[in-house]
Parts: sequence; C-alpha cells; structure tokens
Amino acid sequence: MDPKAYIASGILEQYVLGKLTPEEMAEVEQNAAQYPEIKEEIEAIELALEEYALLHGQTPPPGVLSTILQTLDERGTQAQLKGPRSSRTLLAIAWVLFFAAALGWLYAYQQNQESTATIAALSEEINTIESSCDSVQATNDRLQAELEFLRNPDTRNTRMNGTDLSPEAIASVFYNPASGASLIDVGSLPVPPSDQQYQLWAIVDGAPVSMGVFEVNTDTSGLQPVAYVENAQAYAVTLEPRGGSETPTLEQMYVIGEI
Amino acid sequence: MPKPKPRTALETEIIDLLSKKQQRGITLLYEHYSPALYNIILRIVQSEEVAEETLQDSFLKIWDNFSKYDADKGRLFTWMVRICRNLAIDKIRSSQFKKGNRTETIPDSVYNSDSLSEELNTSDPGLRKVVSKMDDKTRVLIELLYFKDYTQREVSDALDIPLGTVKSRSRKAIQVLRQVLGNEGFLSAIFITMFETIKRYFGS
Repeated sequence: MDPKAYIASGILEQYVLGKLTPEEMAEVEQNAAQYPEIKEEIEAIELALEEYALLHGQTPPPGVLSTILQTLDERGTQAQLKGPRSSRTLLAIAWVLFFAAALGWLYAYQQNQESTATIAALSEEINTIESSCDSVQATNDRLQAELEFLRNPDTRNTRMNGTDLSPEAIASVFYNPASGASLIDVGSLPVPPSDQQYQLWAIVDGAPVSMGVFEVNTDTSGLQPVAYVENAQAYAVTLEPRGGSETPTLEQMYVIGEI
Repeated sequence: MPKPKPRTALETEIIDLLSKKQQRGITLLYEHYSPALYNIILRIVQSEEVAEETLQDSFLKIWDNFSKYDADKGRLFTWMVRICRNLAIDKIRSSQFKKGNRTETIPDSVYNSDSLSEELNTSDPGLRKVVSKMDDKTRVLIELLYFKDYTQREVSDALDIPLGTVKSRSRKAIQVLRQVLGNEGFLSAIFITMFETIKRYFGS
C-alpha cells in the first residue's frame, strides 16, 4: 500500500469526521498503527478541526458544570451508601455459610460418634462371641477327647458305690491300660466344703496309691483326668484337706469299688 | 504543512485525572472544552434548552466511559465530539426530528453566506480572522460535515455536487482549513487562551 495515495484519497478526513462504517474505521486504525505518516496526518486533521471548533466556542448557560458535578457527587454518595450495605450483605452471607458449615460439621460429628459407638459395641459383641466360641470349642475338644477315650475298646470302667457315710453317692473310674490314662466321673458326690478336696486312691496289693485330687462343684464337668495307676484292684474316694494327703483318711471314704 | 501540536500539559493532566476518576478532571475539561462542545451540540439540536441537557449528559457519559478512550487511536477532543454528536442526534431523533426536515433547513443557516458572516461578526476576533481567509465553499462544506454531521450523500444532495467528489472536496476543504490555521492558529490559540483566562478570572 502506498501511504501517500491512501492519505490523498481523503479517507482520513472521513475517518476523523466519523463518516466511516466500523469496518472501514478498523481498517484506517490498522493502517495508522502501521504507517506513522498516516497517524500523523490523522492527528493533523483532528487538530485542525479541533482548533476550528474551539474558535467557534459558545459559552454554555451557567450552572451546567455545577449540575454535572452535583450529579457525580450524588452518585458517589449513593455508591458510598451502597458500599457498606453490600459489605454487610457479604458479612451476612459469610455468617450464613459459617453456620451452615458448623451445622454440617456438627451433624457429621454426631454421625461419626454414633458410628464409633456402634463399632465399639459390635467389636465388644464380637469379642464375647469369639470367647464363647473359644470356650465352646474347648468344651467340644474336651468332650470329643472324652468320647474318644470312652469309646476306645481298651477303656475299662469301674463303678464306685456309696459307703455308709453317703449311701446315695456314686462315682466311676475309667482307665485305659493301653494309653495309660484315667478319668474320674464324679457322679453324684456331694459338693465338699471349700477347705476340703476329694482324693482318688487306687488299691494296689492292699496298699493305697494316690491318683490325685479333683474338684466337685457346679462349674466343673463330670469327667476329670486323674493319674493312671497300673495293676489296681480297687478304687476309692476320700475327702481330704485341700491339696490332698499322703495317706487316705479312711473315716472320710465316700465311695469304693472293686475291679 | 503545520506539524501536529503535541499534547498540551493541560490535556495530559485532564486525561490523567479522568482515568483516576477525579472530579477535577471534569471541571478542567468543562472549563477548556465546553464552549466548543456546546456549539457543536447546539448546531445539531438547535435549541438552547436541549443543548444544555445534552451537554450535561455528554459530560456524564465522558466520565462514565472514560476507560474506553484510547489515546493511541485519536485525540481526546475528537472522541468527546463523537460522544456529544451521538447524544445530540439521539436527542433530536427522540423528539421526532426527521432527517428530511433537517435538509430543508439548510439554506437558512448555511447557504446564506451573509447570515453566516453576520453570525460570525458576533463571535470573537480570532475566529473572524480565520474564517475571513476561507472561501464560502470550504466554510459551508466544513459546516455541513463537521458541525451538522451530514453524511456524504446528504452533502451531495444539499450542495448539488456528485457523490464521488464529496470525499475529495472535503479533503480539500480541510487542507484549506489547516493552511489558514497554520498561519493563524498559533496566534488565535494564544488569544483564545488569554480570553478564556480573563473570562474565568472575572467569574463569567
């Protein structure tokens, strides 16, 4: 493009006079940005018209400036009034949000507390069940073992009947020479005072041999393991001081049975 | 050809104040430019009452829209004239002023060079000196294009010249204006400034 021809075309005058379409204006502005001489020419045209317009000046009626400034002042005051109001609104919004958040937190906290309590109760329950399961398992194991022992073809049984001291009492000894194990079935022996314990004796060649003490109370099961003694001809149970005695107290014999 | 005058300190100050939204910018703007802008508005609306209202609206619009003014694209005055002119045209359109009617009113206010000269006699001596150096054709063309905001077609119709030559004629007219102002502009500018200062000093 030739800037001189462009200037001479008179488009710049039309531009300054505001006679161009927005597209044409954009084009002129683009050319002005590219060619300093075009920009200079535009400014010269503007300046000429500006000076001419200033020469034609007519003083406007008085009071216009004060009306303008008053309007700006009023707007400024309104803006100032609006300022705190809007910041108050913001503050209110902030409070509402804060309370909403606090409520939400509280709700979540309570939910969490409830869950924690439930979890604690459940884990306690699980512990109880586990331990009861353990004890059931232990009982089951023991019963299994006892049943196995009793069903063993080598296991023998000797029934002991009540003496004059307790004619109603009955107890039995199960023994297995093959495995060398013995059990006592406490039967219907009465519960002894707490400072005393029953002691089982085997009579071997006329002499008593201790097979150990055993408990009789409501908690313990009927069958309790005792020591195995070989070649026993008879079994007897005496009541002895807690811990047992070296020799049986014959006056306190509750049951006896021969093999 | 006269070199474009660099931006005056006053203009720079006004731009600075207005972009900082300081009301002193409006006061300075008003003191310096309101007569020229009022004249441009008055020539379009042709009623002092409407012109006063339009001038107020224009200054408020200048204040509100100042961030849209781009100093790289043109002079502050050109931008302000565009705002004033648009508002003035809006005013006459809203009061059902038809463009057709306007065309009919030209001969009275513009064609008659006697009435124009008479009108000029009442103006200040600086203007008289400048205008006396311009031929009637130039004066009328600038009057129509600049002060009356005629389109090229309207000018072509009103002056009975071919549409194709309006552009070249308006360029020629402004060239003449630039020449005249180049010789007289500086002196008259000083004169106007002195005149304005004295008027302000006496609180007119």
